[in-house]
Order: sequence, then C-alpha cells, then structure tokens
Amino acid sequence: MKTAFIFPAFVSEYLGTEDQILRSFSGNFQQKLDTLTRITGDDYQNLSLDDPDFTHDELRSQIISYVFSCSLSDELTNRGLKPVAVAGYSMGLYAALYGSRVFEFEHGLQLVEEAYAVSRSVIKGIDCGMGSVIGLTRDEIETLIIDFKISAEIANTNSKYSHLITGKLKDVEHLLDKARETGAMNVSFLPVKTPYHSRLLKETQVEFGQFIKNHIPLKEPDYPVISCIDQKVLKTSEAIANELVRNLHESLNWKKTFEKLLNMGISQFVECGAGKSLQKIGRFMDGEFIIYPMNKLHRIVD
Amino acid sequence: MAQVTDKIREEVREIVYDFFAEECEIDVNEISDESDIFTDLGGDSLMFLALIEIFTKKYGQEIDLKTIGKYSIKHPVETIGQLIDMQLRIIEYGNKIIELDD
Repeated sequence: MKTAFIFPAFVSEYLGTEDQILRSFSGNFQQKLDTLTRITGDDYQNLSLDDPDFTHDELRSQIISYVFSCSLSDELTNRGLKPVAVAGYSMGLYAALYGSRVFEFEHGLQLVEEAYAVSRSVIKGIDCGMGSVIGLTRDEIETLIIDFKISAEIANTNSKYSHLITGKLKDVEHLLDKARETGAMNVSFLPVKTPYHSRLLKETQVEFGQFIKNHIPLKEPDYPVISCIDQKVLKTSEAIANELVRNLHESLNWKKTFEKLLNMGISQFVECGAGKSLQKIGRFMDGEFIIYPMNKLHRIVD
Repeated sequence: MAQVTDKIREEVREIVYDFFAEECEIDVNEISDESDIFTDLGGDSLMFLALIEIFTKKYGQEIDLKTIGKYSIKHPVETIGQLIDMQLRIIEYGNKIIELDD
C-alpha cells in the first residue's frame, strides 16, 4: 500500500494528547524541544498545549506545529514507514521539506521564523487577517469578489465547498459578510493577523529568497514533494527554493494537491502533525483512501 | 416533497449520533439531543457539511447548499436535536426549506 505523509499548517485545534504520544515514541521530540529552547531562547522544554502563551501566539504556534510534524515524521521513517510522496498544507511546507530530508531541523526553524518576520515587516501598519468560508464554491466566492469589488483573495481551496480567504482585515470581513448573505453555511475568522497566500506578501519574495540562498542549504528531496500551488513534483533544490518563496504569496489548492496524490496510487495518508484538520478536510475528497491522524497511528505502526 | 416516516426519523437520528460519536471520539451514550455540538462535543461546521452530503446521497436529493446556508441564518443549529430537526426538514422539503416560515 502506497503511503504519503501530509503535513498540516499551524494548528488551532489540538487533539490534546500530541505531546504525550510523541514522548511515548522516543526521545526525539524532547531533543527537538531542547533544540528549540536553545535556538529561540523561549522555554519549550516543558511545553504544554494548555499554555496560551504558546498555542495562541502566531509565530510560536507555527514553531510548535513544525516540531510536532518533524518529530512524527522522524518516528515513522525510523520505524520503516517511508512515504512515496509528501505534501505540506500552507506552512506545513517547512515540515514536509524536512520530512523529505531537504534540510536540517534547525534550517526549517530558521525558515519559519524568517518567513514570519519578513511577512510581518511588509504589512507593517496594515490590519490583515484570514477567514474561512464553508458552503460556497470557488466560483461563487470569486463572483462575490468581482461583483462587490472586494480586494480579499482565496488563499486555499480545501475542498469543493471549503475555502480560506486572505487579505486586509476590512476586505476579509466584507467578503465573509457577503458570503454569509449569499448562503455560506458558516464563515469565521482564523486566529492569524498575517495574510498568508496573499499578494500583499509578494514583496517578501526578494528578501525571503535572498535569505534562503544565503542561509539555507537545500538538498534534493528523498521523497517527491508535491507543490500545493501548482501540484508539480518538486525535484530540485531550485524548484524547492522557488516554492518556499511563492508559498507566502500565492494561492494554494489543497484539493488538487490531494487529488494529485490519489492519482499517484496513494491510498494511505499519515497526517504528520498535530490535530486532525487534514483528516477532516479529507472527508470531502472522492476516492478510496484512509487518513491517519497522530492518535490513530497505532493501527499502522507498532 | 418527501414524506418523513418514522423509519427515516430513526435512521437520521442513528446516523447523526454515530457520526458525532466517531468524529468527536466519544461514546454514543454520552450524546443527547440537548448536547451542544460546539461546546459539548467539539464539533464544527465541516461536520454539518459532511452530514448534509451523507443525507443527500442517501436520499437521492439535489440540494443547493446556499439554500441551507440561508435557512441556517434564520434557524441556527447548536444542538444535536436541532441538527436532526433541520436534516429532517431538508429531507422533507428539499430546496423549498427556505420557504418555511416558522
């Protein structure tokens, strides 16, 4: 059975048992927390998911997600479960690339921090955000954007009727209001202040690209990495550097990315990270497959 | 309009209860009609969407999701009992649910 590792973005809903599960596997998770503490200066050694200083902070929540994902990926491959491909959802790209041995753990951490810093710097003084629209198609949302001349954009298509939007806060709010009036079943804000996957972040490309070139040694991936932007297979370090830069300001399509993995004959997916957001999204994909979140892994590994 | 029989009522109830038990990883006996989907069960709107897909396939309906979205503005669903009631109305009235005035 072909297996893919899929890596979630930063998580807003934890299972609550992630740290216990990872600590029960081996010392890998604790080693990574020690490394995080050493590099960032923040105390991750006694990380608790009940501590809002970590889980409600935009950068720290990304760092936590990154370390959960990297640890789980290590555990699985150490136990002999090798993916035939990997894909990262949004900021899950960093862990996906780590999981494919493109760079070292510390380099991914540097990328998470730098991407955040550069993104925040280009939108300095502008209130921005992201939102979720459930119940409208991509075309229906695009029609609202055009008809009402709203500058918000679609950040990601999760499934036919589930999308994320991004942009300036007032535009996101306007689009959410219009979506609800039109008949969206649910609209909500995401707990972020950075407009990921928005053209507002296009200015990051030079600085972030230069940072990658100067500081992050990229290797060719051990396992094929599927682009969440255009679903191409990323095989070279140049293609990966380009993906890292584009990932901040281009619209993503998780639905197509997942379909690409299914078309590769993959029928078993491991959600390599905290929570089970990708399993939830997977309900709306057509095909015969199963997605295992972290707390169900005992079904496929000892 | 489709007639909602006692059998359909029971099917819908069983599917909804089993769905939330599995998705929220809790014992089905811990769920009641009064359970708040969000605060008690930790559910979300994607679960609503998934259930609507399950029922439209099961009962061969073609539902405009936007109609249900508009209906839910006037009739917000918070509990399992309210959700079952809404699903039964969707089965019974289809896209005409929006014309219901109560």
